[in-house]
Amino acid sequence: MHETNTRRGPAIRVAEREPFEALARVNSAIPGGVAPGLHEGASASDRPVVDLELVIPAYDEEHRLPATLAAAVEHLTQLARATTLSCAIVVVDNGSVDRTSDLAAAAQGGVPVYLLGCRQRGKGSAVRRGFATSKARWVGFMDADLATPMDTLDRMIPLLREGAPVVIASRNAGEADRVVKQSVFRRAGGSAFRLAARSILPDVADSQCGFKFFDGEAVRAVLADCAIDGFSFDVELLARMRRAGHPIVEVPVLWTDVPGSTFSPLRDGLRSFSDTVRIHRSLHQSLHTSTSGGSR
Amino acid sequence: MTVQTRPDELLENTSPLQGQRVLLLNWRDRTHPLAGGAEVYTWQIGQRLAANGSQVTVFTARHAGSEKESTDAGMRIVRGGGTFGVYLAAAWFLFWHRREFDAVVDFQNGIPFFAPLFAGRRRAVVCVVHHVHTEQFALHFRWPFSRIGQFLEGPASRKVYGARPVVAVSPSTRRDVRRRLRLRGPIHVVPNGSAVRPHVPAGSRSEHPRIVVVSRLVSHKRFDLLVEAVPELLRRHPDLRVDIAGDGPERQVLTARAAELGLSDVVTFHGFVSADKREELLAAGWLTTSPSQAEGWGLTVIEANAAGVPAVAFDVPGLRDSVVPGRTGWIIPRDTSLADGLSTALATLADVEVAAEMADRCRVWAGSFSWDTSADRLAAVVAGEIDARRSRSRRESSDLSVLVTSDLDGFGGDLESLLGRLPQVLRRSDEWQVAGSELRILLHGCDQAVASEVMDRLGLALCSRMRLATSADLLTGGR
Repeated sequence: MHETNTRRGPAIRVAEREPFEALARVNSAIPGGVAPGLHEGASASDRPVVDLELVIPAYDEEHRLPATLAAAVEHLTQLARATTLSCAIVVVDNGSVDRTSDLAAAAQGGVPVYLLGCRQRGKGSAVRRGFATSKARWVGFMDADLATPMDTLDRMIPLLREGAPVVIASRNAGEADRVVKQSVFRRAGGSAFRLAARSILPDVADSQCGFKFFDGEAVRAVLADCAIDGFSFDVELLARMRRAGHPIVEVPVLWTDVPGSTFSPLRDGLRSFSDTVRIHRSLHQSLHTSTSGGSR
Repeated sequence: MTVQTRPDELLENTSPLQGQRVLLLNWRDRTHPLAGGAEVYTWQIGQRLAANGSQVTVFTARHAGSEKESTDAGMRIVRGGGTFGVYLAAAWFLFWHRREFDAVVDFQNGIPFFAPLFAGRRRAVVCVVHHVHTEQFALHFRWPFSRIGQFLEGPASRKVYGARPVVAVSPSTRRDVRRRLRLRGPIHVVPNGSAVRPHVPAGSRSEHPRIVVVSRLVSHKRFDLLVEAVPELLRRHPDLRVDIAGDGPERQVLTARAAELGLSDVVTFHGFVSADKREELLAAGWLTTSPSQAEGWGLTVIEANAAGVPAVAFDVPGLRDSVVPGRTGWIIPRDTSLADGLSTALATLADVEVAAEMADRCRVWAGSFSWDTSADRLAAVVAGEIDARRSRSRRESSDLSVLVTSDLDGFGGDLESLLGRLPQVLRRSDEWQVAGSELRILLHGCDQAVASEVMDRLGLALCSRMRLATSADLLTGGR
């Protein structure tokens, strides 16, 4: 929209900063009395600093989002009360045409819920947009389907506190078990993809579970290098974190397959697969430039 | 030099379609015996476009007793073809006369006119969708006609209309157009206007809880659910009264059922009422309800809102758009008890202050729907498409919109030049209005990041705040 933006190719990731600086200027001008909640969502892209921010990417999730959001709000409210950590939730609407934004805007509870838009399609873009606008000490994302139980977070927080920069839920590590099985087709596709992902992240058992938390500063430092917009963005994100020298800690989870995903096994599956090739290549390139003394 | 004019006086009010030649393709004429809500929409908007200086031609089916060509409400009406032949006749007409028009508005009624095939690549075509029919085809037609209908409405339209803009009359329709018809162009919401504006003075509501309904009494509106809910409501609100105004095939059944339940002195059926009586009933009302299982657009709800009366409705298409939960009424899940919903609402409205606040919001909400506004908004979409076609611009579309509110008191620069610059920086289909010293802009197809760039370009970055638009914002255009 609006001339300049239409001419932009999808490639200029670094330039994403620019609009946010403009946005920050907009938001800093808002009088102080404005509530941080959604209804004055002015602050959605310049949120106050908190300890923990949870990003929920949502694309046409009017059916699954309300329950997930309610569970997240409730859990974070309890968490904030029990640990004195300040928390916030950021719903990133990835171009929904249904009532996703209405429902997110109506959310109420003990923690602020912000509604941010991301017109660039893809779960990767949505999560990155949430991370890029965050100033939180720890930031993480969660799938809108609530496939990973919220209490996983309780086991992650102590690890984050101890300084682990990357803590991810894993369906394959240790005692993790699938409560409800997925279809054979999806599992086969999943295995093939995991093989590809494994070649990038050899020691990560499950890079695809939609429940990951990061040290805010560390993850924001690698965001500009990430380019995958689709479902396999987390492989890239983890690989970048690893490249930056941050170890990855996996936390086993009980996990349920929730129907209603917008993931299409054929289209998105193939796309994810080809994305792993892109990740390989770009990692290789950046390795090359950094070893040849390129500036950082 | 300081400009002393109020900001809202600086906005000039000329139609963007002034002097343009516009062809409206509509299935039926408004004098057709089966004319309905879709025809009202076309005529209300068409005549306003004509009044604002566009040359408007309407092409419709020719029914018995109608002329081939005539003038109606400032528009030239051309008729040809019957119920189904109109599609061929319209295609033929459009093909031979396409050069006489700058833009074509294709009002689809289940099956569109496929205007892009006959209008040429460079001519603007906007498709207006009232309602997505997919399932109705299966109900009303036999195989293979039902499948043909579904094919024409869905895949064929998707192919033919490509990235051309679509206008949906409500957010529900907008979602269905994107998800079920899978059309690819930008979808704008231009709602139905509302004809009557009751002049109900605030503070005239009755002392005791009163539910008032003004509607046609037909079975799919399910007012039987209301009658059945009354006994339970009486247990919680013993002095409740219910007024049902309006006539229809269901009236007998409902009256009988109310008598059977011993509610004759609680539920009053007024039948068809005069405008004065209607206002009087609405003025006394606390609450209205529409238990319907689906509506195109909850017109009766909006009419009650105009009198400051909030509504309770189920979470169904149409009504979930016309009732803003928590602000102008209550939306209750489809399979829950109506009595519970009504009871909660009445209990909330017992607080006079809460009720007065809600009544104000209802009036503002209802006031934002007018045919004048709708005509302007449709004109803006069409004008935007004329520009886009001429410049052959290609834009990526997104279904997100952002509502920006700027405080013009905080704007340091020259107001006049700012307002003059708005049309250059914004898109035609973006909507803006000035109320007092506040500038409200609804930017379509963008997120907060893009919106902030736009505000930066306008020099308004420091006095603006923004949020993602909701369905209600799309309906009112941010008003």
